[in-house]
This record gives sequence, C-alpha cells and structure tokens, in this order.
Amino acid sequence: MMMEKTLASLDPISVRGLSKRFVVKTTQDANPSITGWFFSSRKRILRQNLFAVNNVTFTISSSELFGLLGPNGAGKTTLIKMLCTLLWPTDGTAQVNGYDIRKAPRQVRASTGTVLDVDMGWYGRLSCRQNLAFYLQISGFPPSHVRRRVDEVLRTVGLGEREDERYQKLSSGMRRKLDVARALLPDPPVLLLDEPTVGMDPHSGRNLRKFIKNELCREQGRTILLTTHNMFEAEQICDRVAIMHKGRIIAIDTPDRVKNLVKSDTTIIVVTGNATSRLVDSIADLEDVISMTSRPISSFPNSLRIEARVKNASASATISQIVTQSGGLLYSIRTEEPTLEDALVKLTGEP
Amino acid sequence: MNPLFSLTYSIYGFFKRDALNAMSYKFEFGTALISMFITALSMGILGIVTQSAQAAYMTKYGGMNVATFILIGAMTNDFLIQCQIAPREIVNPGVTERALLSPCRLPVFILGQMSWGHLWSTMNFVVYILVGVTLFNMQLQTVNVVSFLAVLFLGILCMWGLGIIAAAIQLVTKRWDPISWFFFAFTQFASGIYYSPEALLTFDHSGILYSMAWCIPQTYVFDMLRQSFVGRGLALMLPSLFNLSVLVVILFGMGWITLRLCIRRCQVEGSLGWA
Repeated sequence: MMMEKTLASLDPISVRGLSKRFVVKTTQDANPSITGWFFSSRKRILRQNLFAVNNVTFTISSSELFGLLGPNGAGKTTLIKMLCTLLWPTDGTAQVNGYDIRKAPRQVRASTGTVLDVDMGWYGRLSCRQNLAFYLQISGFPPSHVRRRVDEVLRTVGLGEREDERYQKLSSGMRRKLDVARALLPDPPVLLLDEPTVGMDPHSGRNLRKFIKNELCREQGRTILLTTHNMFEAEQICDRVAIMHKGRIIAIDTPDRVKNLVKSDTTIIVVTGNATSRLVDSIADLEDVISMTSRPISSFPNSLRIEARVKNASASATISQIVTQSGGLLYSIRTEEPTLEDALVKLTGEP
Repeated sequence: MNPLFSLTYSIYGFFKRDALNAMSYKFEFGTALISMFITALSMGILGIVTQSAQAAYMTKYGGMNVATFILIGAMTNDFLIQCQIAPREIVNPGVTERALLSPCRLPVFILGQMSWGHLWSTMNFVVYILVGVTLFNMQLQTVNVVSFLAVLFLGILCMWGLGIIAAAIQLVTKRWDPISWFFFAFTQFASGIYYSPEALLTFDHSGILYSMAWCIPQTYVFDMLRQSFVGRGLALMLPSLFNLSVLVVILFGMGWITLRLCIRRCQVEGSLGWA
C-alpha cells in the first residue's frame, strides 16, 4: 500500500489541473419547418458539457486552514467530492495526504475526514454514541479503540453530555457538531469541510469556527479545506482563501491580499449637517471620487449621509476639508475597507 | 487485528445498528413477530384444505402432506425474497455515500447492509418450521441436512446476484427496479410456492409456462428443498443441482460486475447521493 503513496508533493493537499465535466440535458422547441406541424409541440433534447470544475490547481500546506469561496454553483462542493473520492474527475488529479485520488481512493478516504454540505446517513432512533460507533466499527477499527475514540471525539466537539441523546432530538447546531465528530473519528490528518457552519445560529457558528481554527488546526495540526458562503467566517479563520467562479479559481492568497485586489474601491461614509447642494457637488467633482450617493437623515434636519466610492483612502482628508469650508457640520467620517465579500462580488462580477 | 475478526466485527456493526433501530420501534417489532405465526398458520390451513386436490403431485416428494409442501414453499419464498431485496439497502442514498466515504470495503458494506434482514428472515423460517412441526405434522427426522443447507446456500447466492443486479440498476435509475418485479411476480405464479409447477400443465397444455418456470432459480430451490425434506441426497438431484449452480455463477457474476459499473457511473455523474 505504501507504494501508492507518492513523495512528489509533501503538501497534504495538492491539486493539479483537476476538472469535472457533467453532461447537462436541456430542451429546445423543435423547428416546425423541419418536423412538421405534428411534431411542432415536441421538445428537442440537447446535451451540453458543463465544467463544474475547470482545470483547478493549488496546494495546501500542512496545518493550513484553507478557505474555498464562491457563489452557488461555483464548483466548491464538486471539488470537495472529488477530493474525498465520491466523484470521479474527468481530467487532472489530486493527492490527499500523499495518496492519489485516482490510484488509491481507499487510502485517501482513510486519511481524510469529510463533512458534506447536506450530511446524511444518520439514524434518528440511535444515540450520538451509537451512530458514531457504527461508523467507526464498519471502518475496521478494533472494539477497544471504538469505545475510546467515540468518547474522545464526543468530548472534543462538546457533545460529551449528550452522548446518549437520540439523533432525532438534537438541534441543528448539535447535528452539525456530530457531522464534524464523524469526520474526526479516524483521526485524519486532513479535513474537508463543506460549509460546516451552515444552518447554525450565530453563537454556535462562532463556537464551531473557534473550534476549527484553534483546536483542529492550531492545536491538533490538521490540514483543513473549508468551503463557505460566509465571508466573515473566511476572513476570521482562514490562512488563505481561493475564490472560485464557474469552476475556475480566479484568486488565491491570504484574505488581506485578496481584499487588496479590489482595494481601489474604498468607500468613505460622511454624515454631515447644514449640508448644501454646493457641498455635495464639490465632493462629487473630486478627481478621486468614482461614484457617490447621498440621502437625508430623517431624524436630523438638513443632514445628509454621503457614501463616496473613491480611488484612494486619502481622499477622506480632502472631503473633511470641503465639508468644513462649505459651512457644513462634520458629524462623522469613516473609511470602509473592502471586505472579502466585496472582493468576491467584484472578482466574480456577480451581485 | 485478525482479518476475519475485523470482517465479522465490521458486519456486526451494521447488524447492531439495524437491530437497535428495529427494537426502538417496540410495538412494530412485536406485531411483526405475531404476524409471522399468523401467516404460517394460514399456510398450513391452506395445505389441509387443498390436500386432496394436490395429493397427485406429492408422489415426487414421497407423499409429503400438502401443508408441509406449502409451508416449505412459503418459508423458503420469504427467505429468498429477503435475500433478493436485502441488497437494495445498498442504494439508500445517504448511507451509500457515507459508507463509501469510509474505508469500509464494498463486500463488507453489502454483507453488513443485508445482515439484519437475513436474521429476520431466518427467524421467519424458524417460526414456519415450529408451526409446521407442532400443528401440521411436518417431519424433520427425514431431512437430509447436507442437501438442505447446500441448496439453501445456492439459493441465497442466486438471490443475492439478482438483488445486486436490481440494486445496481436502481442506483442509476433511482426508482425503477424491473428485475425484482419480474422475479417476484413470476415466482408467485409459476415456481411452485403453493402448488407444484406440474399443476401449470393443467392450465397451459402447450407447456410453455412450465418450461419457463424451470428457467428461474426459485423453482429449483423449492423443488430440491422439498426433496431434501424427504431425505434425498445431492447425488439424486444432480441435474437440478447443476442447473442451479450455473444460474448462481451467471447471476452472481453479473451482479458483481453490474454493481461496480453502476457505482462508477454514479461517481462519474455525481448522482451517488441522490434519492
């Protein structure tokens, strides 16, 4: 078995030119001139190739927490499913913990813990402990190990007190924790987490994020690939992020650097009293201002909230000057740096 | 860990899961047990009622009483149906996806998924024999145990083969399972559960149905099990044994190949977890 483990890459996850193509059926009205009136209501079935993942290449280093971001249909889940060997790639390959997903899928599965976005395979009438013991037992672990390991993971994810609770009685947050517990059962060095905090309340989500970052990644040194829609989550915990769009990776770096890619679009928010139209025009005419909107604040007469998208954050000093020089009252001025969400929207071109 | 122990322990994991799940529905579990006795009883009564009409067909089985004949047919049929439908547990979308994410080997997964169903059908088998012996003069002292177990084993393999083919097709089509439907329908009608296949000749003089009946494995299993009940050894059933063995090789081989191909197709299409 060790023969199949290659030393070509020391990175726990190494993806090279990975692609997944699906054949999608679409319908189109048949041409009446060809098929005649009898068939005019018939639909013609067209088969099209859709690349859910298109020539993706990246590596993830040991103990790194890597975030995969992108809008719905970007290919994040497809990529995770290929890495955990549930889906067979059309092209390219990947190594997980040194094992090739095509040549040694069983070894890949043994060294990977996976949480899928819609996680199934739980038995409502069985307790947390019984459910977890089942998955460990069928993986070929000895009886002594099963009991000990189930205890460990239940304590690790904070479900030690609920071990005998039936799955059907758990809250959605607890169920998600149990998903993570199941992924941790074989003590895998690599974790693939597909939207682990989806459906959780803010408090539980924050706790799970902390747990993933501090416990699983920092303390235990696991390598984690995590997909998420939650940009705040990615900014908060990921060492690096990749933005996926239409199956391709369009940006990959640390969250700060990815945000810097769209930094030209800094927003300055000014709240001013005694605002005149001359003041607004003066700000709009500034060379650094790309676009501007203003709206009155109902609770303060003659007050405006001005939002200016500027090329450079230093424009805030000029704007302050204009407000005071034109007799306005400067209540507040602040600069909004782009968030990862802004970066995602800008880079993918999707609202 | 010893590989055999590891295998058994893994399969026991599946069994324990299903047993815990089934026993958590206590009322359903209890009523299902009572139903077994009631069905066995009604089969025996059916035998008594049709004794004189079917007596002519019993000479092949050493003059066995018709109640025993029907009880053997019904209990074996229930057992074989379970063998045939058990592999369909494989296509439970959530479980399949999760199990294929674990290092659990495919044969262990299949055997494990079927283990509880088999215990249940074995219990059903025992209940029929109990009812037969105590109420309907079923004779166990004449049973040729070696023939009985060998034929039953071949029957199980045949049904697993059929079931695996059906499960594999269902893995791709998600709903439609023509294999189970055909064999279930035709077995009930022609393979000799409640009456001997020879009785078909009184209805279809051309003998087409009778010939077709001997193309399906259940007919051989019912026939040979009844013969083993009256003490016949395998040597006296060689032609039937050969035919059944050929069917085992064909069906089991086809099942294994079809399943692997269908799982791969689902992995390519990405439809493994779809319901």
